[in-house]
Amino acid sequence: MAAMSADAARKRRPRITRRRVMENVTGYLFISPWIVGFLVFTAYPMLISIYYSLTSYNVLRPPEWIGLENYHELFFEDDRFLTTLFNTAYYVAFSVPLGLVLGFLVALLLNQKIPFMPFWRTVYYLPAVTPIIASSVLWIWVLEPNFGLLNRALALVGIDGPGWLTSPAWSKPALIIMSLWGVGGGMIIYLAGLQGIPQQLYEAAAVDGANSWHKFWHITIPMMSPVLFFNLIIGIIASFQTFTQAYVMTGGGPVDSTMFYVLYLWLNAFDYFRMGYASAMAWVLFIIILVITLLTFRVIAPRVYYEFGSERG
Amino acid sequence: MSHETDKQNEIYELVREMRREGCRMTRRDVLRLGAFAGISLAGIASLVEACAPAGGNQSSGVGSSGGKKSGPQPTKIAGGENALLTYWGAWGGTALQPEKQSIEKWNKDHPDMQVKALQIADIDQKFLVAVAGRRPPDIIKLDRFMLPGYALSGAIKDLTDRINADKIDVKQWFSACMNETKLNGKYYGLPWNTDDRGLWYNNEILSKAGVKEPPKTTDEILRMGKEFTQKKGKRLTRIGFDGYGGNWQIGWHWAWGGEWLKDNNRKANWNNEIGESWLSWLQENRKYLGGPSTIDAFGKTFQGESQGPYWTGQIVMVMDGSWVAGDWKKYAQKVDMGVADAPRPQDMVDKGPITWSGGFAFCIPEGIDDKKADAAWEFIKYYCMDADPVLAMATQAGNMPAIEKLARDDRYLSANKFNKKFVDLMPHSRFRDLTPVGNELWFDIIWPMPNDVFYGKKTVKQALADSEAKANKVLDRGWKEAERG
Amino acid sequence: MAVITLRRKSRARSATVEPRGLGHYLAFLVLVLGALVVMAPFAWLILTSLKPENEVLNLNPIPSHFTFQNYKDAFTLVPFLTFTRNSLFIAIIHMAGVVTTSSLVGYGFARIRFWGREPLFIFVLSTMMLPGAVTLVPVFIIWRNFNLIDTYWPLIVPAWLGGGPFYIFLMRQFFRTIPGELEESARIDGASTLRIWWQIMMPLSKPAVTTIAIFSFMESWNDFIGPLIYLSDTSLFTLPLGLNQFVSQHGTEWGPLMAASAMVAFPMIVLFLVAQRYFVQGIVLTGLKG
Repeated sequence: MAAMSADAARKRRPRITRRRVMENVTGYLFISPWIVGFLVFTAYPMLISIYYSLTSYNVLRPPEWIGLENYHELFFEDDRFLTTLFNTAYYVAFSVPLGLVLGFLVALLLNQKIPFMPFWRTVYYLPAVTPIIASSVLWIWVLEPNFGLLNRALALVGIDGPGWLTSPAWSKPALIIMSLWGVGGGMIIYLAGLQGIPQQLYEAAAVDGANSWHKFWHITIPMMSPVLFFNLIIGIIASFQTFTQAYVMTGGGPVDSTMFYVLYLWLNAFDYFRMGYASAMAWVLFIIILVITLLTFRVIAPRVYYEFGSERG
Repeated sequence: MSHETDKQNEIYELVREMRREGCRMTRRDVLRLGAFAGISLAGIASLVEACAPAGGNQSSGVGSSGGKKSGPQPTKIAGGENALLTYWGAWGGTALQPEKQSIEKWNKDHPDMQVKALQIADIDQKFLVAVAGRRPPDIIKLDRFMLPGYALSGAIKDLTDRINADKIDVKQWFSACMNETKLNGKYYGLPWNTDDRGLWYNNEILSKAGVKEPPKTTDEILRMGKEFTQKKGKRLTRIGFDGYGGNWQIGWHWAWGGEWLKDNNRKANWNNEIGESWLSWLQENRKYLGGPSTIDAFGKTFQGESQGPYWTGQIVMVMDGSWVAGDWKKYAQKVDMGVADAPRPQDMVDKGPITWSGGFAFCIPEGIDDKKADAAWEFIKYYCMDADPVLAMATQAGNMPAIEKLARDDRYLSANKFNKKFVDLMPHSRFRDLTPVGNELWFDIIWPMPNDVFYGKKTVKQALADSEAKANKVLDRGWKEAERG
Repeated sequence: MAVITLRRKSRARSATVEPRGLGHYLAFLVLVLGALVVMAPFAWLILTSLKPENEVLNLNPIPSHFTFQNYKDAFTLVPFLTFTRNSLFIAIIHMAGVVTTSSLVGYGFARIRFWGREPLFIFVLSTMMLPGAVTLVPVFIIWRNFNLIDTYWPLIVPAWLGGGPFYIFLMRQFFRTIPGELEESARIDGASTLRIWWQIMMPLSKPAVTTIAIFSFMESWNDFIGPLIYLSDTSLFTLPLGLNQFVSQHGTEWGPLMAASAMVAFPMIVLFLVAQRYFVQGIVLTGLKG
């Protein structure tokens, strides 16, 4: 590729025509909304927030330089910071892999010869289109300890359900269960991937005498690995920023057991008006997510199978 | 790199197919989408038609002045769209009507200074965002103990000159109320109301059990609370005494003779024997109720308003505010309720009754022009000092006037059989110590601190020590910033 | 890997040679049970919202008689009509912005040759990985410096600046599949690039435009944290904010609460059922772009 483009460039260079210039100008004009948007709402904010993170700033008065004090407080003095990190990690560690596996399982089930497939797909997908605020309210009621659907169902099988959102031990599992209710979002993507696996691969494997398990392990999984991997990354990034459920359903409680990172960041920014401190928190979050994403790439990407496409009809 | 291009090709493939199918289906899809829009609009319209409220008086919500969320309704209660002044912080519940009436009267008398009153949820947060965003309201009703914080961060105007120019007698208010609006010798607001707290008890249940008068000491109430508590399996069906419920979370320290802050409000002062004794006592109470999860689960069964837990007997004894009298009058006059002094430890009973007070003030935000500020000032004077609006709130919503003479006015005292009791308690009232970090200190550190003990996350000593250390850090930061600004 | 659409799938299915053994029926059973579990909360939401007040806490999930009282109460307690109007207003302007600018940018990336196009496009895609929480505070401060807090501008303007990498990506991919001859002949006729984009490419891209229109509408309708940060005046509130307010004020009045929640969720669910195809296509496209 590199050689080719260099070659192409050599050929093009003398032909800096008026038309080429115009096309360049037009091109940049067309993408200018994105350029402006990126500069104003992504690049500049990220840079300026480094500066804010080194100040004490309540918006009403000008920011005051305090050096690394915010970071020092965050790492060495604020025990809530560690609590929120733990809560968030707990949530991510369970909801992301469980959601991935469950969504994939549903997709596998749906990928068989089943009557009314679109109907089932719709059913599983509905929670994913429900506004998060509405599903949060719905789940407050489902998880209600005395009359909630979940505890009523548990009572039917003789289990005295916990207090869910009122119990520090069960509040995080409750939110994880709620997140699993929405696995339909991933399921649709897996289903699409599964249906795109060329049948010839399975047929060839069958000729070689492979059983279902072999076919699953040596064809389905490798063929699906890019999709699974992509969803893993996106899932991690999204789950690290969980906010609405905790804000609406628990407010971070009981005793900070659902105080997630972004909720605490929000609290610092818009309740205590400590914009500097919140900016420092944002940067720490950014680094954490970056490191975890890179690690995931390092560990998992080599196992992802990318050789497909030869069978496209 | 080859897989990159391959993948792109696949996407083209999909997109191509989308296009083929899509183009063919467009008309039908457009019809369906159109039908969706039409039906949903029609649905909304007909629902609205069917459901539109007849009047504006069916609102609800207990107007509590002490809790963090004095969550009023999100509606405009009075004033036209082109009113000169915008007032944030109108209340709902029983307070809605008197506020509406008084503002409508003002608007009629002052066509050039009309006020539009809005109810704002999470007003503290929203107010700072609004000032920060340079779009403040012209008038704001704020919880007084948070005024120093607002004043120091430059969110509200210094009203001292106006008070002096108009020769307003600052002594007409309960002195502590006026004091709460003061910082470094300057006034930042006019007190609007006050409140205090007492032991509310359901006398029907007590007298049925042969109890003649409510408990006076903390030992007694702990024991009696246990006797009156009822359970079905693990679940509560009745709370005899809820020591941490109602509205007294920060009162016990005072009841035990403690002081929350020391050194001119620079240092926390509860990690000591006093703190230990009331917190252990409170822990006892929570234990026999079955722990916080059980209590919270029970709390979820409470209904609002007319079916509130005090009237239904779901809670027999609890410390709560004078404003409850207004709800009682509106929803539960048939229920035999009583109010007594807060219980105190045996050795403190001789020192007399104790209560704590809060209340709201009217302030003028920074960032509005002089013309509006002048008009806002005129309205605030009317709203906080004129007998009509103050007594309307007092008689209809159980809001104790912050002006002593009006609190002792017969119209208020005779409006509700509990009012006299609460006014008589006022001389024994404690007020939250003023700091620049009131919100964080009282609501995020002190108020929830016992929870760590109830949930078994920390011992009493640990909880006191940790929260005190944290409070000292926050106080330190707050005062440092205050001196700098 | 060939990617499915609804019709492609049926072909793939017919090619499947799966033995219909016990396992197959077992799998079907699991599927049905799972579907019941997923639908149960919805059913319960609807049933609770239609119950008379005194039956909400009853063990029997079916109301003795169906009533719309809870919906009426919800309307009385909170001005849902205003909130709906606000939500619709924002969502439509947001949607218009996304459709216009993401297709402009997408067209630029797809069809116009300019220096640095490919690396820039990869850069656009990589910004999808940026956690939004990082810019929460500084972007708020920017809007504050523009004096535009408590207006709809912060919720609308970003949509008019490309609307986000996902939409740009989708439009670009779609434009690339449209044959170039049409453009060429238009150009020979003297049409400007802008005109080609608007009069030739856009009409040919109805399915993609519909897809992003629906997605951006839903994104705006469901947005919670944006309005939470930028809107203070309750008369400007959107439906999600209104519902949140409802929770904090009437948190245990389950009947009206469920009715309110249903009213917020219902339009999106219906929209999905009506325009399912576009959802699936859009989702598949994002999901597989990895």
